[in-house]
Amino acid sequence: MFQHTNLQSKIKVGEAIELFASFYPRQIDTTLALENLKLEPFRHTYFKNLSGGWKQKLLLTLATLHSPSIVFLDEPSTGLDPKSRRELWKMIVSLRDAGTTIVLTTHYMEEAEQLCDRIAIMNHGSVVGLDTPQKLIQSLNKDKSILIACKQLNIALVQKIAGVSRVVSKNNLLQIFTDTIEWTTFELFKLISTEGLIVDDFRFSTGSLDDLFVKLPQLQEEMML
Amino acid sequence: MKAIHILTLIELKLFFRDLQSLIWTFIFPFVMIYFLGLLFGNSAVGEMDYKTLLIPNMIALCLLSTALFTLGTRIVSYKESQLLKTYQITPLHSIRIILSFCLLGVIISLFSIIIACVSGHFIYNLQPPIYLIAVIFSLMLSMVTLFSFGILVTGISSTMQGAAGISVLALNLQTFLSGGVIPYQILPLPLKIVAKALPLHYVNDILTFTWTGQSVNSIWLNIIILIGMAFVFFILSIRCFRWT
Repeated sequence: MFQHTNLQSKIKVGEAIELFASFYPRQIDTTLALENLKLEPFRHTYFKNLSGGWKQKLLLTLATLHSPSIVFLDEPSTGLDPKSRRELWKMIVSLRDAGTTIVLTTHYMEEAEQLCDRIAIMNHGSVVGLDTPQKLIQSLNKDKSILIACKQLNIALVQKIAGVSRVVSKNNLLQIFTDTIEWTTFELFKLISTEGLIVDDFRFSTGSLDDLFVKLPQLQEEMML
Repeated sequence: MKAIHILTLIELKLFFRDLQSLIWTFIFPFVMIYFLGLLFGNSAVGEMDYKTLLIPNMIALCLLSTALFTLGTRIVSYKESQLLKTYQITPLHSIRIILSFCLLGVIISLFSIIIACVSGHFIYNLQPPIYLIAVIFSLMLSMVTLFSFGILVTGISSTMQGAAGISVLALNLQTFLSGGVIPYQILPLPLKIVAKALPLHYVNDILTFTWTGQSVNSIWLNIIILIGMAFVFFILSIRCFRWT
Protein backbone atom coordinates (compact mmCIF):
# COMPACT_ATOMS: atom_id res chain seq x y z
CA MET A 1 0.00 0.00 0.00
CA PHE A 2 1.47 3.30 -1.11
CA GLN A 3 1.36 6.75 0.46
CA HIS A 4 -0.64 8.35 -2.39
CA THR A 5 -2.64 5.38 -3.63
CA ASN A 6 -5.80 6.25 -5.49
CA LEU A 7 -8.73 4.41 -6.95
CA GLN A 8 -11.10 5.55 -9.69
CA SER A 9 -13.09 8.45 -8.20
CA LYS A 10 -16.48 7.00 -9.21
CA ILE A 11 -15.86 3.39 -8.27
CA LYS A 12 -18.08 2.17 -5.43
CA VAL A 13 -16.61 0.51 -2.34
CA GLY A 14 -18.32 -2.82 -3.10
CA GLU A 15 -17.11 -2.72 -6.71
CA ALA A 16 -13.52 -2.00 -5.66
CA ILE A 17 -13.50 -5.01 -3.34
CA GLU A 18 -15.09 -7.23 -6.01
CA LEU A 19 -12.53 -6.00 -8.58
CA PHE A 20 -9.45 -6.59 -6.44
CA ALA A 21 -10.79 -9.96 -5.26
CA SER A 22 -11.01 -11.04 -8.91
CA PHE A 23 -7.26 -10.47 -9.38
CA TYR A 24 -6.37 -13.39 -7.10
CA PRO A 25 -6.67 -17.02 -8.15
CA ARG A 26 -8.32 -18.22 -4.94
CA GLN A 27 -11.94 -17.49 -4.01
CA ILE A 28 -12.30 -14.47 -1.68
CA ASP A 29 -15.44 -13.80 0.34
CA THR A 30 -16.04 -10.10 -0.44
CA THR A 31 -19.07 -9.85 1.84
CA LEU A 32 -16.98 -11.04 4.77
CA ALA A 33 -14.26 -8.49 3.92
CA LEU A 34 -16.86 -5.71 3.93
CA GLU A 35 -18.39 -6.86 7.21
CA ASN A 36 -15.08 -7.43 9.02
CA LEU A 37 -13.96 -3.88 8.45
CA LYS A 38 -17.39 -2.30 8.96
CA LEU A 39 -17.38 -1.15 5.34
CA GLU A 40 -20.83 -2.62 4.63
CA PRO A 41 -22.70 0.75 5.08
CA PHE A 42 -20.37 2.24 2.45
CA ARG A 43 -20.84 -0.55 -0.12
CA HIS A 44 -22.60 1.80 -2.58
CA THR A 45 -20.52 4.91 -1.79
CA TYR A 46 -18.20 6.36 -4.42
CA PHE A 47 -14.51 6.30 -3.49
CA LYS A 48 -14.29 10.09 -3.96
CA ASN A 49 -17.02 10.60 -1.32
CA LEU A 50 -15.19 8.66 1.43
CA SER A 51 -13.27 10.53 4.13
CA GLY A 52 -9.46 10.26 4.13
CA GLY A 53 -9.58 7.71 6.95
CA TRP A 54 -12.11 5.48 5.22
CA LYS A 55 -10.18 5.69 1.96
CA GLN A 56 -7.05 4.41 3.72
CA LYS A 57 -9.06 1.68 5.47
CA LEU A 58 -10.51 0.56 2.14
CA LEU A 59 -7.05 0.56 0.53
CA LEU A 60 -5.66 -1.49 3.41
CA THR A 61 -8.58 -3.90 3.00
CA LEU A 62 -7.81 -4.22 -0.74
CA ALA A 63 -4.12 -4.80 -0.02
CA THR A 64 -4.92 -7.61 2.42
CA LEU A 65 -7.89 -9.30 0.72
CA HIS A 66 -5.81 -12.35 -0.12
CA SER A 67 -4.52 -12.70 3.50
CA PRO A 68 -0.86 -12.10 2.69
CA SER A 69 1.81 -13.24 5.14
CA ILE A 70 3.69 -9.93 4.72
CA VAL A 71 2.36 -6.43 4.01
CA PHE A 72 4.38 -3.31 3.10
CA LEU A 73 2.75 -0.06 4.17
CA ASP A 74 4.31 3.18 2.92
CA GLU A 75 3.33 6.04 5.26
CA PRO A 76 -0.27 4.84 5.52
CA SER A 77 -1.49 7.56 7.89
CA THR A 78 -0.02 10.61 6.14
CA GLY A 79 -2.60 13.39 5.97
CA LEU A 80 -5.11 11.73 8.28
CA ASP A 81 -6.74 13.44 11.27
CA PRO A 82 -5.90 11.97 14.72
CA LYS A 83 -9.20 10.03 14.97
CA SER A 84 -8.84 8.42 11.54
CA ARG A 85 -5.19 7.70 12.27
CA ARG A 86 -6.08 5.83 15.46
CA GLU A 87 -8.77 3.84 13.62
CA LEU A 88 -6.24 2.87 10.96
CA TRP A 89 -3.80 1.86 13.69
CA LYS A 90 -6.46 -0.46 15.13
CA MET A 91 -6.74 -2.18 11.74
CA ILE A 92 -2.97 -2.53 11.48
CA VAL A 93 -2.74 -3.94 15.02
CA SER A 94 -5.51 -6.45 14.31
CA LEU A 95 -3.65 -7.55 11.18
CA ARG A 96 -0.46 -7.93 13.21
CA ASP A 97 -2.32 -9.88 15.90
CA ALA A 98 -3.67 -12.19 13.20
CA GLY A 99 -0.07 -13.13 12.36
CA THR A 100 0.66 -10.84 9.41
CA THR A 101 4.19 -9.44 9.23
CA ILE A 102 3.95 -5.70 8.61
CA VAL A 103 6.77 -3.57 7.27
CA LEU A 104 5.73 0.04 7.83
CA THR A 105 7.59 3.17 6.82
CA THR A 106 6.65 6.34 8.67
CA HIS A 107 7.88 9.75 9.68
CA TYR A 108 5.56 9.76 12.70
CA MET A 109 7.57 8.50 15.66
CA GLU A 110 4.40 8.12 17.73
CA GLU A 111 3.08 5.76 15.05
CA ALA A 112 6.27 3.72 15.09
CA GLU A 113 6.21 3.54 18.90
CA GLN A 114 2.54 2.48 18.98
CA LEU A 115 2.62 -0.12 16.20
CA CYS A 116 6.07 -1.57 15.83
CA ASP A 117 7.70 -4.49 17.58
CA ARG A 118 11.04 -3.55 16.04
CA ILE A 119 12.16 -0.26 14.57
CA ALA A 120 14.94 0.47 12.09
CA ILE A 121 15.95 4.13 11.89
CA MET A 122 17.41 5.06 8.53
CA ASN A 123 19.63 7.99 7.67
CA HIS A 124 20.73 8.58 4.06
CA GLY A 125 20.05 4.95 3.17
CA SER A 126 21.88 3.44 6.14
CA VAL A 127 20.36 1.81 9.20
CA VAL A 128 21.54 3.87 12.20
CA GLY A 129 19.43 2.11 14.83
CA LEU A 130 17.62 -1.23 15.05
CA ASP A 131 15.83 -2.59 18.11
CA THR A 132 12.54 -2.60 20.02
CA PRO A 133 11.15 0.90 20.68
CA GLN A 134 11.84 0.61 24.45
CA LYS A 135 15.43 -0.52 24.02
CA LEU A 136 16.15 2.15 21.43
CA ILE A 137 14.91 4.85 23.78
CA GLN A 138 16.77 3.38 26.74
CA SER A 139 19.99 3.19 24.73
CA LEU A 140 19.80 6.89 24.02
CA ASN A 141 18.60 8.28 27.30
CA LYS A 142 21.15 7.21 29.85
CA ASP A 143 20.64 10.65 31.38
CA LYS A 144 17.07 10.45 32.69
CA SER A 145 15.08 13.54 33.64
CA ILE A 146 12.20 14.76 35.79
CA LEU A 147 9.67 17.29 34.58
CA ILE A 148 8.00 19.39 37.27
CA ALA A 149 5.73 22.46 37.30
CA CYS A 150 6.08 24.24 40.64
CA LYS A 151 6.09 28.06 40.51
CA GLN A 152 8.05 28.94 43.66
CA LEU A 153 10.64 26.16 43.39
CA ASN A 154 14.15 27.61 43.78
CA ILE A 155 16.40 26.36 40.94
CA ALA A 156 19.57 26.95 42.98
CA LEU A 157 18.29 24.60 45.70
CA VAL A 158 17.34 21.95 43.13
CA GLN A 159 20.81 22.05 41.59
CA LYS A 160 22.29 21.20 45.00
CA ILE A 161 20.40 17.85 45.18
CA ALA A 162 22.77 14.91 44.86
CA GLY A 163 22.88 13.37 41.36
CA VAL A 164 21.44 16.39 39.53
CA SER A 165 23.61 17.25 36.53
CA ARG A 166 21.66 20.22 35.12
CA VAL A 167 18.29 22.01 35.33
CA VAL A 168 16.55 23.53 32.33
CA SER A 169 13.55 25.86 32.61
CA LYS A 170 11.08 25.84 29.74
CA ASN A 171 7.39 26.82 29.49
CA ASN A 172 6.74 26.90 33.28
CA LEU A 173 8.34 23.44 33.52
CA LEU A 174 11.66 22.56 35.10
CA GLN A 175 13.50 19.69 33.47
CA ILE A 176 15.89 18.15 35.99
CA PHE A 177 18.56 15.83 34.54
CA THR A 178 19.92 13.22 36.94
CA ASP A 179 21.73 9.90 36.98
CA THR A 180 19.96 8.77 40.22
CA ILE A 181 16.33 9.41 39.40
CA GLU A 182 14.82 7.72 42.51
CA TRP A 183 17.07 9.59 44.96
CA THR A 184 16.58 12.94 43.21
CA THR A 185 12.77 12.47 43.21
CA PHE A 186 12.81 11.67 46.93
CA GLU A 187 14.99 14.71 47.74
CA LEU A 188 12.93 16.97 45.45
CA PHE A 189 9.63 16.13 47.16
CA LYS A 190 11.29 16.49 50.56
CA LEU A 191 12.33 20.01 49.52
CA ILE A 192 8.82 20.86 48.22
CA SER A 193 7.25 19.56 51.44
CA THR A 194 9.66 21.55 53.62
CA GLU A 195 9.05 24.76 51.65
CA GLY A 196 5.26 24.12 51.57
CA LEU A 197 5.02 24.52 47.77
CA ILE A 198 2.23 23.43 45.39
CA VAL A 199 3.03 21.04 42.49
CA ASP A 200 0.93 21.60 39.34
CA ASP A 201 2.49 18.86 37.21
CA PHE A 202 5.05 16.10 37.64
CA ARG A 203 6.32 13.33 35.34
CA PHE A 204 9.39 11.30 34.47
CA SER A 205 10.86 11.88 31.04
CA THR A 206 12.58 8.90 29.52
CA GLY A 207 12.92 10.56 26.11
CA SER A 208 11.03 9.68 22.97
CA LEU A 209 11.64 8.24 19.55
CA ASP A 210 11.48 11.80 18.26
CA ASP A 211 14.59 12.64 20.30
CA LEU A 212 16.19 9.44 19.13
CA PHE A 213 15.39 10.19 15.48
CA VAL A 214 17.16 13.52 15.81
CA LYS A 215 20.12 12.31 17.87
CA LEU A 216 21.02 8.93 16.33
CA PRO A 217 22.34 10.21 12.99
CA GLN A 218 24.38 12.83 14.88
CA LEU A 219 25.87 10.14 17.11
CA GLN A 220 26.73 8.02 14.06
CA GLU A 221 28.49 10.96 12.41
CA GLU A 222 30.45 11.66 15.60
CA MET A 223 31.51 8.01 15.78
CA MET A 224 32.70 8.12 12.17
CA LEU A 225 34.76 11.23 12.87
CA MET B 1 -10.71 -14.65 -17.38
CA LYS B 2 -12.59 -13.62 -14.23
CA ALA B 3 -10.31 -10.58 -13.76
CA ILE B 4 -10.77 -9.49 -17.40
CA HIS B 5 -14.53 -9.92 -17.13
CA ILE B 6 -14.91 -7.93 -13.89
CA LEU B 7 -12.39 -5.24 -14.89
CA THR B 8 -14.26 -4.72 -18.19
CA LEU B 9 -17.62 -4.65 -16.43
CA ILE B 10 -16.48 -2.11 -13.85
CA GLU B 11 -14.74 0.06 -16.45
CA LEU B 12 -17.96 0.01 -18.47
CA LYS B 13 -19.93 1.15 -15.41
CA LEU B 14 -17.38 3.92 -14.83
CA PHE B 15 -17.70 4.93 -18.48
CA PHE B 16 -21.48 5.28 -18.12
CA ARG B 17 -21.00 7.38 -14.96
CA ASP B 18 -18.90 9.91 -16.90
CA LEU B 19 -21.15 12.41 -18.66
CA GLN B 20 -18.43 13.75 -20.98
CA SER B 21 -17.60 10.28 -22.32
CA LEU B 22 -21.29 9.57 -22.86
CA ILE B 23 -21.85 12.78 -24.81
CA TRP B 24 -18.75 12.14 -26.93
CA THR B 25 -19.78 8.56 -27.72
CA PHE B 26 -23.45 9.13 -28.43
CA ILE B 27 -23.58 12.64 -29.93
CA PHE B 28 -20.36 12.68 -32.00
CA PRO B 29 -21.38 10.05 -34.63
CA PHE B 30 -24.81 11.57 -35.07
CA VAL B 31 -23.53 15.16 -35.43
CA MET B 32 -20.74 14.17 -37.83
CA ILE B 33 -23.05 12.08 -40.06
CA TYR B 34 -25.57 14.92 -40.17
CA PHE B 35 -23.09 17.70 -41.02
CA LEU B 36 -20.83 15.78 -43.39
CA GLY B 37 -23.91 14.52 -45.25
CA LEU B 38 -25.26 18.06 -45.39
CA LEU B 39 -21.99 19.56 -46.66
CA PHE B 40 -20.78 16.91 -49.10
CA GLY B 41 -23.90 14.78 -49.57
CA ASN B 42 -24.28 15.55 -53.28
CA SER B 43 -20.64 15.02 -54.24
CA ALA B 44 -18.97 11.85 -55.44
CA VAL B 45 -15.64 10.14 -54.65
CA GLY B 46 -14.50 8.42 -57.84
CA GLU B 47 -17.47 6.40 -58.98
CA MET B 48 -18.95 6.29 -55.48
CA ASP B 49 -21.63 8.52 -54.03
CA TYR B 50 -20.12 10.35 -51.00
CA LYS B 51 -23.09 9.44 -48.79
CA THR B 52 -22.44 5.74 -49.31
CA LEU B 53 -19.00 6.17 -47.76
CA LEU B 54 -20.28 8.27 -44.88
CA ILE B 55 -20.98 5.45 -42.41
CA PRO B 56 -17.78 3.39 -42.88
CA ASN B 57 -15.67 6.56 -42.69
CA MET B 58 -17.52 7.68 -39.59
CA ILE B 59 -17.07 4.26 -37.95
CA ALA B 60 -13.32 4.43 -38.65
CA LEU B 61 -13.15 7.87 -36.99
CA CYS B 62 -15.21 6.67 -33.99
CA LEU B 63 -12.90 3.69 -33.51
CA LEU B 64 -9.84 5.94 -33.55
CA SER B 65 -11.31 8.50 -31.15
CA THR B 66 -12.39 5.69 -28.79
CA ALA B 67 -8.87 4.23 -28.97
CA LEU B 68 -7.18 7.54 -28.20
CA PHE B 69 -9.56 9.39 -25.90
CA THR B 70 -11.46 6.64 -24.10
CA LEU B 71 -8.92 3.84 -23.84
CA GLY B 72 -5.43 5.34 -24.13
CA THR B 73 -6.06 8.51 -22.15
CA ARG B 74 -7.89 6.58 -19.45
CA ILE B 75 -4.95 4.23 -18.94
CA VAL B 76 -2.61 7.23 -18.70
CA SER B 77 -4.90 8.85 -16.11
CA TYR B 78 -4.66 5.64 -14.07
CA LYS B 79 -0.89 5.77 -14.42
CA GLU B 80 -0.83 9.39 -13.27
CA SER B 81 -3.05 8.72 -10.26
CA GLN B 82 -0.86 5.72 -9.31
CA LEU B 83 -3.78 3.30 -9.68
CA LEU B 84 -1.69 1.18 -12.04
CA LYS B 85 1.02 1.04 -9.37
CA THR B 86 -1.60 -0.39 -7.02
CA TYR B 87 -2.67 -2.92 -9.68
CA GLN B 88 0.99 -3.82 -10.14
CA ILE B 89 1.27 -5.30 -6.63
CA THR B 90 -1.59 -7.71 -7.40
CA PRO B 91 -1.23 -10.72 -9.73
CA LEU B 92 -2.95 -8.72 -12.51
CA HIS B 93 -0.79 -8.89 -15.67
CA SER B 94 -0.55 -5.96 -18.09
CA ILE B 95 -1.92 -8.13 -20.92
CA ARG B 96 -5.15 -8.55 -18.94
CA ILE B 97 -5.49 -4.79 -18.55
CA ILE B 98 -4.96 -4.25 -22.29
CA LEU B 99 -7.38 -7.04 -23.24
CA SER B 100 -9.95 -5.71 -20.83
CA PHE B 101 -9.65 -2.18 -22.24
CA CYS B 102 -9.86 -3.54 -25.81
CA LEU B 103 -13.05 -5.36 -24.81
CA LEU B 104 -14.37 -2.13 -23.31
CA GLY B 105 -13.52 -0.38 -26.60
CA VAL B 106 -15.45 -3.01 -28.57
CA ILE B 107 -18.57 -2.48 -26.45
CA ILE B 108 -18.37 1.32 -26.60
CA SER B 109 -17.70 1.22 -30.36
CA LEU B 110 -20.76 -0.96 -30.88
CA PHE B 111 -22.87 1.87 -29.46
CA SER B 112 -21.18 4.35 -31.84
CA ILE B 113 -21.68 2.02 -34.83
CA ILE B 114 -25.35 1.50 -34.04
CA ILE B 115 -25.87 5.26 -33.67
CA ALA B 116 -24.00 5.95 -36.93
CA CYS B 117 -26.09 3.35 -38.80
CA VAL B 118 -29.41 4.47 -37.35
CA SER B 119 -28.60 8.18 -37.97
CA GLY B 120 -27.49 7.45 -41.56
CA HIS B 121 -30.60 5.40 -42.25
CA PHE B 122 -33.10 7.90 -40.86
CA ILE B 123 -31.45 11.12 -42.11
CA TYR B 124 -30.13 10.04 -45.52
CA ASN B 125 -31.81 6.68 -46.06
CA LEU B 126 -28.44 4.90 -46.12
CA GLN B 127 -28.66 1.12 -46.39
CA PRO B 128 -26.95 -1.45 -44.11
CA PRO B 129 -24.08 -3.55 -45.58
CA ILE B 130 -24.83 -6.62 -47.70
CA TYR B 131 -21.90 -8.83 -46.67
CA LEU B 132 -22.24 -8.71 -42.88
CA ILE B 133 -19.56 -11.31 -42.09
CA ALA B 134 -16.97 -9.42 -44.15
CA VAL B 135 -17.92 -6.22 -42.30
CA ILE B 136 -17.62 -7.94 -38.90
CA PHE B 137 -14.18 -9.29 -39.83
CA SER B 138 -12.98 -5.88 -40.99
CA LEU B 139 -14.42 -4.23 -37.86
CA MET B 140 -12.62 -6.71 -35.59
CA LEU B 141 -9.33 -6.23 -37.41
CA SER B 142 -9.75 -2.43 -37.31
CA MET B 143 -10.56 -2.48 -33.60
CA VAL B 144 -7.52 -4.57 -32.65
CA THR B 145 -5.27 -2.33 -34.75
CA LEU B 146 -6.61 1.03 -33.61
CA PHE B 147 -7.15 0.14 -29.93
CA SER B 148 -3.63 -1.19 -29.48
CA PHE B 149 -2.32 1.80 -31.49
CA GLY B 150 -4.21 4.20 -29.17
CA ILE B 151 -2.90 2.52 -26.02
CA LEU B 152 0.63 2.45 -27.44
CA VAL B 153 0.94 6.08 -28.54
CA THR B 154 -0.80 7.66 -25.54
CA GLY B 155 1.29 5.42 -23.26
CA ILE B 156 4.37 7.43 -24.30
CA SER B 157 3.11 10.14 -21.96
CA SER B 158 2.92 9.76 -18.20
CA THR B 159 0.47 12.65 -17.73
CA MET B 160 -3.10 13.25 -18.84
CA GLN B 161 -2.13 16.53 -20.49
CA GLY B 162 0.54 14.83 -22.55
CA ALA B 163 -1.81 11.99 -23.52
CA ALA B 164 -4.51 14.48 -24.55
CA GLY B 165 -1.97 16.32 -26.73
CA ILE B 166 -0.83 13.10 -28.39
CA SER B 167 -4.46 12.06 -28.95
CA VAL B 168 -5.45 15.36 -30.59
CA LEU B 169 -2.40 15.23 -32.86
CA ALA B 170 -2.90 11.57 -33.81
CA LEU B 171 -6.63 12.03 -34.44
CA ASN B 172 -6.35 15.18 -36.56
CA LEU B 173 -3.40 13.96 -38.57
CA GLN B 174 -5.09 10.68 -39.43
CA THR B 175 -8.50 12.24 -40.00
CA PHE B 176 -7.13 14.49 -42.75
CA LEU B 177 -4.73 12.01 -44.27
CA SER B 178 -6.77 8.81 -44.14
CA GLY B 179 -8.99 9.68 -47.08
CA GLY B 180 -12.10 9.75 -44.95
CA VAL B 181 -12.57 13.52 -45.07
CA ILE B 182 -10.30 14.63 -47.93
CA PRO B 183 -10.08 12.11 -50.81
CA TYR B 184 -6.69 10.34 -50.79
CA GLN B 185 -6.30 10.82 -54.56
CA ILE B 186 -6.07 14.61 -54.31
CA LEU B 187 -3.34 14.62 -51.62
CA PRO B 188 0.18 15.72 -52.70
CA LEU B 189 2.77 12.94 -52.92
CA PRO B 190 4.60 13.61 -49.60
CA LEU B 191 1.30 13.49 -47.71
CA LYS B 192 0.31 10.34 -49.57
CA ILE B 193 3.49 8.70 -48.25
CA VAL B 194 2.73 9.85 -44.68
CA ALA B 195 -0.88 8.63 -45.04
CA LYS B 196 0.39 5.18 -46.06
CA ALA B 197 2.22 4.91 -42.72
CA LEU B 198 -0.94 5.55 -40.67
CA PRO B 199 -3.34 2.76 -39.67
CA LEU B 200 -6.53 4.78 -40.28
CA HIS B 201 -5.78 4.85 -44.02
CA TYR B 202 -5.99 1.03 -44.18
CA VAL B 203 -8.92 0.87 -41.76
CA ASN B 204 -10.82 3.28 -44.02
CA ASP B 205 -10.07 1.16 -47.08
CA ILE B 206 -11.11 -2.17 -45.60
CA LEU B 207 -14.24 -0.76 -43.96
CA THR B 208 -15.30 1.12 -47.09
CA PHE B 209 -14.81 -1.87 -49.39
CA THR B 210 -16.58 -4.39 -47.17
CA TRP B 211 -19.39 -1.97 -46.21
CA THR B 212 -20.19 -1.06 -49.79
CA GLY B 213 -20.00 -4.68 -50.92
CA GLN B 214 -16.99 -4.20 -53.25
CA SER B 215 -14.52 -7.00 -53.87
CA VAL B 216 -11.52 -6.81 -51.52
CA ASN B 217 -9.23 -8.42 -54.16
CA SER B 218 -7.93 -5.01 -55.17
CA ILE B 219 -6.92 -4.11 -51.58
CA TRP B 220 -5.46 -7.45 -50.46
CA LEU B 221 -2.08 -5.80 -49.84
CA ASN B 222 -3.74 -3.19 -47.59
CA ILE B 223 -5.42 -5.98 -45.62
CA ILE B 224 -2.09 -7.74 -45.10
CA ILE B 225 -0.49 -4.47 -43.99
CA LEU B 226 -3.36 -3.89 -41.55
CA ILE B 227 -2.99 -7.42 -40.12
CA GLY B 228 0.75 -6.74 -39.73
CA MET B 229 0.03 -3.43 -38.01
CA ALA B 230 -2.50 -5.08 -35.67
CA PHE B 231 0.09 -7.68 -34.67
CA VAL B 232 2.93 -5.16 -34.19
CA PHE B 233 0.82 -2.61 -32.29
CA PHE B 234 -0.67 -5.28 -30.00
CA ILE B 235 2.74 -6.75 -29.13
CA LEU B 236 4.28 -3.29 -28.67
CA SER B 237 1.40 -2.06 -26.50
CA ILE B 238 2.08 -4.98 -24.12
CA ARG B 239 5.88 -4.67 -24.28
CA CYS B 240 5.85 -0.88 -23.81
CA PHE B 241 3.18 -0.88 -21.10
CA ARG B 242 4.43 1.12 -18.09
CA TRP B 243 2.85 0.85 -14.66
CA THR B 244 4.36 4.11 -13.42
